[in-house]
Amino acid sequence: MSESTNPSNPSPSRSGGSSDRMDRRSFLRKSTVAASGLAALAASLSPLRKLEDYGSLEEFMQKHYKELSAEEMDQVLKRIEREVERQYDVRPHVQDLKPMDGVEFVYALNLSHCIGCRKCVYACMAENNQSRDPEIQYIRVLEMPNGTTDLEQGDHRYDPETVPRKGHYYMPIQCQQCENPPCVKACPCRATWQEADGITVIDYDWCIGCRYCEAACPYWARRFNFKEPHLPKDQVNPNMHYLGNRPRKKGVVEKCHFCIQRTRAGKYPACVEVCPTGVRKFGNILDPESEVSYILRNKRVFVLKEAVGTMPRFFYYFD
Amino acid sequence: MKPEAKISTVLTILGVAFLGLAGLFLLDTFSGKEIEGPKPGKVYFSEVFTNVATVRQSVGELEETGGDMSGLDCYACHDRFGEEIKLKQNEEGELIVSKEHQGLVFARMNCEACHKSGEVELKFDEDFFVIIPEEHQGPAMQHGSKGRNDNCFICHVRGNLPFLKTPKGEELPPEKGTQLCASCHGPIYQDWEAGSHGRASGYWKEEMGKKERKACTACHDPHRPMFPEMMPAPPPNPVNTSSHADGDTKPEGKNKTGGDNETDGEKETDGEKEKEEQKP
Repeated sequence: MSESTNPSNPSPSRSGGSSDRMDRRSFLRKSTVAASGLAALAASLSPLRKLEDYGSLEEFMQKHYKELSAEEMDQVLKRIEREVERQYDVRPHVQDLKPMDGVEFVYALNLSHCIGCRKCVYACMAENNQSRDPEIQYIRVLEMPNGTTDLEQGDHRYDPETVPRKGHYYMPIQCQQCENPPCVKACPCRATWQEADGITVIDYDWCIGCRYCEAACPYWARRFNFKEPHLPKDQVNPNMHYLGNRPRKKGVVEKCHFCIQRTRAGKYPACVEVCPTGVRKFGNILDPESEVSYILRNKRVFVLKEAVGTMPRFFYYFD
Repeated sequence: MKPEAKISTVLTILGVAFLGLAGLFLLDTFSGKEIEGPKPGKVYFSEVFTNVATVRQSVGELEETGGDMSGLDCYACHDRFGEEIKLKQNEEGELIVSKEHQGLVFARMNCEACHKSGEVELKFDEDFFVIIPEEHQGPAMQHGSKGRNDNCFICHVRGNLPFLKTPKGEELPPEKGTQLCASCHGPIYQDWEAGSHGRASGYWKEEMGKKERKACTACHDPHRPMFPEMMPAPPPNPVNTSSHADGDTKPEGKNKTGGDNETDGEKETDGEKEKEEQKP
């Protein structure tokens, strides 16, 4: 602006008109520069208008899940309820159920009777608020030729008229809830850990999306939200858990958590509930009367990729 | 033009330009393309696949839950042309069920559901096995792979078909079908009791809620106990799948040699053809 004041003291000896023209030119030049500068500034700030989408300050300042006091947890749950309600027009019930004493969850699956109908896959999607588009599924059902357990020979895109197909058996694979989980070791920010009841959980607010855990998992159990997840409003399951099926954002990892919002309330996971053949068995291994205890005592069970040393809590058996 | 006037004009122009730009930004002209949301009305998956219902309903279950019993008539057991069945009704017009029929469930399928009455005549061979005509063989009676179990009176009481009979001669009402199954399939019954065979729903922790078990006939048709074939739910949609859309089922070698998308596509269709050929 100091230069712009100069023309106010023009030397009368020089031709006034030419100096005027010069000044106008420089003004125009400067004004163009200034206008484009402002435009650039405004453009760079324009994402701020959508600040809401980037999460609240509350979320940004939130402590790690394990450091939250009960009151702080209440605040966090309320914030999540508010956010979900704004996004999906559904008033959810977000809980933070803690692991029960003397409970360690174990899953058993009878491969002799699985017919590969994929109902578990879709029940899981309905229960756990996964993105429908792009499609995220926790369970992958492999169609295996009889006589081998070599996973490389499995096909998860089978689509015959009816199942089971002759000469095949079906092997559903999901998170194996390992006792020695490689994914937890890989996480650089402790966003995933193993709970006392054996469920490996993810704090979606703490995940930075580096996908190291996804690479570390030998069972292809983890899924990454590459795009903003899309869930139709009428398909939201309002019964939510902080570490479970609350809606995820773009850029976080998710996986099967044994339906933590159901199992910690004493119910069976959705996949067990829906399985038409009843091959999926779930329960507390520390209870000698439970059905999984019976299966582990009486059936010949095996785990996937035993040699990796992950010690899965997911057992397969034939009978 | 006076310098002050110039300054004010320039400032006005700048101000107008800024306001204009601000207006444009407010109207989202410069923001990135909106991500397409889920289309309303598009069916992402059928509710058939999340239905918890069992594949069939047993008669015992129908009785207990008060399900639809229409279509079960007296002539499933009684001879339509024999003695006339006299129904007794009370003053309000309700049927009085006789003592021997109380707790009895009428057989669901009888020949006269399809055939005209009197048209059907059951034929038995020397060992009292029902001789099943050719057109009814197949789905109708398939208990046991070699047809050794297709005699009605192995499981049903002669003269009172809805009632069941174990091989030892113990008579059971139709609701106790599980006991009948147990009389032959001991080890499976043991597994069922322990919870490793059959469906369970509700609560795994019994202090917190009820665990529901299903009877044998909720999943197995006693006349054809093999679990029925089902239509599978759609496979993972590679277009919708973000993570691991491709590359997972394809062996690495294919990708290395292929390179182009086109060649990959060709190989995939080849694979599909192979699959189709494998189908009987």
